[in-house]
Amino acid sequence: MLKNKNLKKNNKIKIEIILWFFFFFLIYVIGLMKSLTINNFDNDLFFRFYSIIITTYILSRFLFAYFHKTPLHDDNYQPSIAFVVPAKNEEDNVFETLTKFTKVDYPKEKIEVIAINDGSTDNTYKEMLRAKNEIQKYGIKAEVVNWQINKGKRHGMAEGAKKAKNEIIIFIDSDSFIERDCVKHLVKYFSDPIVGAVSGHTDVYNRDTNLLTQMQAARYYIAFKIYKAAESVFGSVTCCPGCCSAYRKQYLLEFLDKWLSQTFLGTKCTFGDDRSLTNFIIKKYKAVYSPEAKAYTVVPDKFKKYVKQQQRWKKSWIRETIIASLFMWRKNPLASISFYLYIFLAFSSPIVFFRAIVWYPYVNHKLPFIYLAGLFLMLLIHGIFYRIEVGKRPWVLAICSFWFTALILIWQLPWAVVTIKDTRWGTR
Amino acid sequence: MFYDLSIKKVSKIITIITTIVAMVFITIIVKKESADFSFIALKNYSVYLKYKFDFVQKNDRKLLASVASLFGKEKSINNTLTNKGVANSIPVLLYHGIINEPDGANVLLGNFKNQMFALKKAGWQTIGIEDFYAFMKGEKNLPGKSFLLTFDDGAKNSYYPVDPILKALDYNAITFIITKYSVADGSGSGYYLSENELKKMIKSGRWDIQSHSRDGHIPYVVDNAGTKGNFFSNKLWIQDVQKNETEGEFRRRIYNDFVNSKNDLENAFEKKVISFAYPFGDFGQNSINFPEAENVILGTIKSVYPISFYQVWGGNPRMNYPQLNDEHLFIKRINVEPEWRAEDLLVAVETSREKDLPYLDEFKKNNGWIKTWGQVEFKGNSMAINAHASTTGSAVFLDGAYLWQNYVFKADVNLTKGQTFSLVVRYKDGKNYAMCSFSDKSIKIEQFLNGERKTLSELKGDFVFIGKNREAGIGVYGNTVDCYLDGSIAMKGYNLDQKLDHGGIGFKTWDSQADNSELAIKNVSVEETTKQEKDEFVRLAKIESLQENATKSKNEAISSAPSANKPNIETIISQPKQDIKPKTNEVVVIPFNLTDSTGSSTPYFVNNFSNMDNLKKIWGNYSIENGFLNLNVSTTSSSFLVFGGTSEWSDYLFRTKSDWGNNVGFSLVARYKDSKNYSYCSFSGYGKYASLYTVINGKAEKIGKTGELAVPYSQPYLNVDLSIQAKGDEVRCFVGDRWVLKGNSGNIPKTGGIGIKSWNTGYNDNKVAVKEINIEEIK
Repeated sequence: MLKNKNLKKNNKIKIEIILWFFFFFLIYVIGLMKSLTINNFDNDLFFRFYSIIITTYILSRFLFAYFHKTPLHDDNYQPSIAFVVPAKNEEDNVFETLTKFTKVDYPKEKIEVIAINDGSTDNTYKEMLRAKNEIQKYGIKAEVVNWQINKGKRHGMAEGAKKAKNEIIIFIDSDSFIERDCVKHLVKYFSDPIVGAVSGHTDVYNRDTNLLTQMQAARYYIAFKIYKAAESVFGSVTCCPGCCSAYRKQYLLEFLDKWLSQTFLGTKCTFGDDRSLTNFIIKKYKAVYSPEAKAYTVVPDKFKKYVKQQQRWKKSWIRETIIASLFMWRKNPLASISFYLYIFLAFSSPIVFFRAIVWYPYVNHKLPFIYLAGLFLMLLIHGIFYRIEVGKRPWVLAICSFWFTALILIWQLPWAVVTIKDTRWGTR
Repeated sequence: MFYDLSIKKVSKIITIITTIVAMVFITIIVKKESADFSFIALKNYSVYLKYKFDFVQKNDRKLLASVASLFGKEKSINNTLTNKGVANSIPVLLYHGIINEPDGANVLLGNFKNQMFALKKAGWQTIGIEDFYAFMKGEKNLPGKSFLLTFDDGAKNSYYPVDPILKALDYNAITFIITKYSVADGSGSGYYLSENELKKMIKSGRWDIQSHSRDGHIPYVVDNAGTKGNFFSNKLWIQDVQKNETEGEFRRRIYNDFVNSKNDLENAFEKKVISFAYPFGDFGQNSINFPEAENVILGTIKSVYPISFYQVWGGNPRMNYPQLNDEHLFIKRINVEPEWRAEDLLVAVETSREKDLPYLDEFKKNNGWIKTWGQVEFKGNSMAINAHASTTGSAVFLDGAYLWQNYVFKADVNLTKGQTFSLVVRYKDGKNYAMCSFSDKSIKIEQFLNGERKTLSELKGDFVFIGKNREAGIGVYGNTVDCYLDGSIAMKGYNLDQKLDHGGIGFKTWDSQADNSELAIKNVSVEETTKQEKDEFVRLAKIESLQENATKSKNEAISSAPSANKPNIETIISQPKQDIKPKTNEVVVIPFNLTDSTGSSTPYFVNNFSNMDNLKKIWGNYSIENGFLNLNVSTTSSSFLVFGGTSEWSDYLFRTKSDWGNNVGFSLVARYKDSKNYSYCSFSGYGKYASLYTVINGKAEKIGKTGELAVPYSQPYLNVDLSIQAKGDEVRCFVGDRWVLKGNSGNIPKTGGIGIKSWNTGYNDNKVAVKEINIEEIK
């Protein structure tokens, strides 16, 4: 048995080594290709610039993520925590979610749970009460807030923050689940007073449902492990997600009201609550990412739902990015440069894509070989990394469908700009 | 800041990054070319697939076929079905670079691709230089639509955009390399192909490498003033000694370059180099200071290269015909102009292919007429050539007629302005041809030999051409030239230079003032002249008298254009042989005269019937073999043959010599007016028996008969000598020199021609072979 295990382990290591080698070989190929083709652009500066920037940006994310610090958990530092769970019509999940808190590896007396029923029309309130009973059996304080009329997630989160008596507020979505040691890894960063928020690492719970969820699993993994980690090196994580994030209550209360009454272009903001909250934090303090604080969330398994979700996220991204860009320049130069470059890339990508896939073949009757090759290589790099990190999974399919979906939905950002004032697609 | 810069991590990253960067650098520096090349080859592979797909889709229009074509040999790319026959001539196409933005000199990629696609679709296939050489030496046949595809200068843009197209169409090409840039010193400047790239090109099997000189592709100073000229065609100015090089130095210099560039290529690529393309197409014709350059170049190059290429221009045929006897092959190339679309190129090569005779042109489109001077225009099923502001005339020739030898060329023309128009034949190039020139005061036969003009014959007269629709023509056989006007031969010339022995047709106009001549042309027809007609002409030439001192004579010929303006020609106009295949059954024959204008006798003598075309069969069968006229007799029929063009004769002696078969009878007919009115002497038994008959209004009457006559003892059936004489009302029959029978009849036609009859007296088919006839007038 042991021998088998060792053998398997050896094989795994061998495979990993080969994959890492391949990973760096790909970077070599990309480097070679860029150097060879940089003069071949029989067109203007803009596309040459784009080509260099995007490669550099992506590779820099890997580099920064590599240097991200994960401090050890300190048993001496254990602040009190408060779980805040706003929910509307979640009768299926909410009991599970809430009772999971009893399994958390943290001193029970330092935990409190606040559930907010935000105008549910089902049995959510009943379930919450049932959960409260269960939780209290473990010696954990619990409270349920009941709103007859829906006020919105933001209000629910604010209410929980106000009502909480403990130091660290941990927001959990009603359809998310956390690992036992998630809290430990979340709170350890707060020992540094500059830290105002910590984002957990979120994986996709319903990964195996279909190709769409597999694709999202890959996307989530890379978005957190690489991109958020890169932001976290400078303490400027731009979005601590609502499914699992921790905030220092003291800092939160400073701008809670401002956050509640936030308006944009004359209308009240009803989505992008987590991103918006993070923005308030990083303006003054720092937000970091904890790769060991694992949580799971449920993602849309239908394409239509997925598209809607992505559209919603794009809009909140636009709004919050505008706000953040007003102060990001004050931050660490590497962080701010990355931030502004990302904006540039986000808006140029659709243009470059359109030119490469539509305009160029039409005018020159040629395939945009360089563009497609570059795109393919970049995606392969992400794919190899994903494969190395998570082991055997249908990573090829996941990555390919990610590519495919990204291309199909490339219009979403421009469209989000156009429809920014339309707040119809609010959160749930 | 939340980073972990532990030594372990940092050193790991630094190692990895430096390794990768170093690898990239090394790859680029050391193998940039290969990397470049491989990268582009990879890219080109997808391009090649796309072209293949494109081509098949254009022609097949079936998506499935197009997709299938990506994976294998595609049928429609194999064009043996459309490339039929055997080539008479080969075009060579010249391109330089293939570019994306117009620069006025090079061809755009879109055009090039369309041109190659169009050629392939029409059945054209490329060949290699060895095959080309073998063809030019007459040692190999090539498919009818073969061509040579060449690129000059060896620039990168003559290869990279081109190769995927060649690969997709299964074409190959030759690239002419300037060895100075590509091989000798700077191997691979950014613009020209490098030695490595060329090696890879050769390896692909699609490209062959030939010479475009080493140092000859830039201008050099040719005089004291600093004027620049081409390397190969000028005596260079040597600054140190302040004078131009001598001819010897010139010769040495160009010889060295020929040899050096050849060696550069052969050493680098280990392939034999057998051809040279003149930089700028200048083989001495554009020399600034050395008029003999052309001769020296051609004399020098032949010891180094068997083949050299130049760009053809203006008034020269565009195709290359085999040159079996030339030491050195001097080959024409068609430079593909940037403004040519695919249709233009296709028309150029298709209309330059050798045309068959007979040739008819109704000018629905331009079938290969190339303007050499002035302007040419096609509209309304006619061609118009005219001088323009800077020329005193205009000229056009038909490409693809280079191999034509003996023919009659006619056209309906109208000289709307100008003094002279000409019909050109035996056109080899702008300096070598013959023509009939028509002006209101004369018709001239002229030749141009190496640019030197000579009048062969001239006929003075009063003609009217301006504004009138006329049919002009010119016939050429061997070294005789005939000028035709409105269907009749107007004059003849005999001493065309032997070197002008083949070539095509053309038109010219001329006026002493510029911009003042114009010719409208419709309905060109060219028909081959056979030997029969030639002999006829020769015979006519013996009999007829030419210009000057002509007597009027009745023209029995059917004129195609009865013109009220019949010119007052003091020559005998005779009806030329209109058709080899007569349009009607009536054979229109030239009347023969037994006397000439002075009254002296001109006997009608034939001892070789091979080209007789005035024979009219009344019934039966005849054949002509070995020059003998065989009258066949069979058990079921006899034969009766008359000679056209003799019906004007009145008093004459018609003598024959023939070989007889067994059991035949033979008659000589005289005063033949028609099949119901004539007289004849009838002989049998080799002349043992003779009878005299008249046929009047269809009724035959014997008016005389002999007893048994004496015939030679040995071989009486050979060279049987028999005659008939008609004089006034009397007809006599002769055997040998003696008359054996005579008779009178007031009813026989006063004038009439001759004929022969034969019939069978036995049981087997047989014949009389008439060997010789002679008719003399009797006074």
